[in-house]
Amino acid sequence: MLEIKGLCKLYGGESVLDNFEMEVGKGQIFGLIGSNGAGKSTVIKILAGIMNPDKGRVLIEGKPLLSNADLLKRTIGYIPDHFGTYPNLTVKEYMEFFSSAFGLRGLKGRDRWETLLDQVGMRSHENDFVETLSRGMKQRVCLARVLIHEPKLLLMDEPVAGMDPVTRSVVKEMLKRLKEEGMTVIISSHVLTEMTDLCTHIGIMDRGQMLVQGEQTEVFRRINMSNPLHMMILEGRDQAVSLLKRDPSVKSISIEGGHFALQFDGDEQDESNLLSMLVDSGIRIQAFYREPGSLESLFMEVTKERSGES
Amino acid sequence: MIIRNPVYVKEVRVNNRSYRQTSVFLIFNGLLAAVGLYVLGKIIGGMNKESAVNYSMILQLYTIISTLECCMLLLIVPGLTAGSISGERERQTFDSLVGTAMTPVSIILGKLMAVMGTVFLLLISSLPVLSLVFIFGGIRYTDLFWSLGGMFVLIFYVASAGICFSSWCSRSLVSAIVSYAFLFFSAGGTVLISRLTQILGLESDVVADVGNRAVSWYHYFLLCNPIVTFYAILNRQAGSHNAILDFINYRNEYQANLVTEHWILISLMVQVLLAVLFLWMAVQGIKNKK
Repeated sequence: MLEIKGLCKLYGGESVLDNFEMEVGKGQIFGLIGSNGAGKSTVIKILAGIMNPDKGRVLIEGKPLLSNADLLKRTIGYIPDHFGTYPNLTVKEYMEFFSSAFGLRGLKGRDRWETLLDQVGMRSHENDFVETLSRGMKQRVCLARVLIHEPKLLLMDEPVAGMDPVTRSVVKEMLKRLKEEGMTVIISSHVLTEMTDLCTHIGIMDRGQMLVQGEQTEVFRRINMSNPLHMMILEGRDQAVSLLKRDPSVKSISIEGGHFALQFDGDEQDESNLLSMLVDSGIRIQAFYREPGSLESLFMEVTKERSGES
Repeated sequence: MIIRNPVYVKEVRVNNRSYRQTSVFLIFNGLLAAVGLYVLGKIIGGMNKESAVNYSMILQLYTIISTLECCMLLLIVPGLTAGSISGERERQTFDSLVGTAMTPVSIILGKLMAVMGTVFLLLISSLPVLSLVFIFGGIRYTDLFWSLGGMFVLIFYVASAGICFSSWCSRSLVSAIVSYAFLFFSAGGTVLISRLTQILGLESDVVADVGNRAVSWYHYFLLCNPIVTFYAILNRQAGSHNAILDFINYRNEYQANLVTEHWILISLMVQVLLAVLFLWMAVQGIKNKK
């Protein structure tokens, strides 16, 4: 669906994007994760056509996106990080303005924005002035208006910042529906906890480069392998220690009562073999699991590796 | 087509509901009415004293009201245009606006039409005060039409410049300052250039060349001066066809030429061309902000 190749952008002589590469498939909800200043918003703004790159190509369904303004505007829906509203406009008039700005006038436009306001739960507020709405409500109106022209690719720049629980649940529901309809969504954020729930795929970027990207579960699985392996041993602790010391995959053991934490350098098959060996030796094991990773730990891991490299 | 421009429709809605717009209408018409009624009172007072109608006073009333109206509009317009594009940036609605299917040209045209629409409403709302000049006769409807039409073109020129500056400046305050600086330069600066260059540069030639010199190039800067153009319009209506030559020829050194004879038409054309150039630059301003 979307392919970014060799994207570069300089700001005042400083490189913000450095040969940035990214691939997003159709129907994916892609979380673009990075710390402040990593270049997430720059990527989003370039994709939205608001900023021009210095170098690089963006292909959407194989067609160059940035040189084709018409394709860009038809294909992309963009929610900026700071979205302003107009004073003295009601929700209805705000939606009318954006639908006519996308060429949807009259009944066709009205039907479309009424449906969208229904979907984000803001129909009952259509006669309220946008300025008087809470931030969460404004976010919902903003989501509705960005979908007016039925874009194929939705770009959300830091949407979860300051989102109240109702809005979060509405957005989550909406994203689920959009995914089912085949829409591709790219969400940039540094609020990592929120991204785990929302995204099917993730990409971690740092200092203008993509460090790791892929399906969320797959990326987690890869990174989880470096997390400690935990065991609760009820009987045969001494025997377990001597067996573990002989296993070349076990790098270190820390013991606290019956709780063993191992630095285990092996994949899922090696874990299974280790468990069988311990059980066959008559050791009674209550729990055996790899410590699950969080997006935070994953992010820290990946960016730490990069800092080490540089 | 104009009223289908989404930016125009939105601007009209937003502006017409604002206190600022209401205040502008109130102050503009209030001041115009106060001055008009004061001058009319003076005329009637004079008539009572002399028991005769002084028609030159009626023309004076027309000149005062029209000039005041033109000057007020020229001062109001930079205030109206200052935030047209930079205000979108300040409100953080710019990215959403340029992200729509609207082209920069239609965005700029929508903004311009909204300002011109407000100016048109101001002109219409001032008609009752302007019609004071019809009480005693002496002024034709066509005179009024030409002065209002001329005023509209001059406003178009100043508004286009204001939108251009708003497109290139990130902040409305800066845009307003630049717009007023431009207005004061084109209204006062060009006169200063014309007069100072004449005084400083050509003093020694004056006696020898009385009435024979071709109009010097620096006087043509006045073609960009909206006040001078309006001065020429009013003087034409008062019967003076060579007002501009009289204005620059205060030392009686220049010959009339095609430009001085058709000053109104040429200056309006120059200002329309400059306005189109400003609008083109405003469009580039939106494109280059990427």
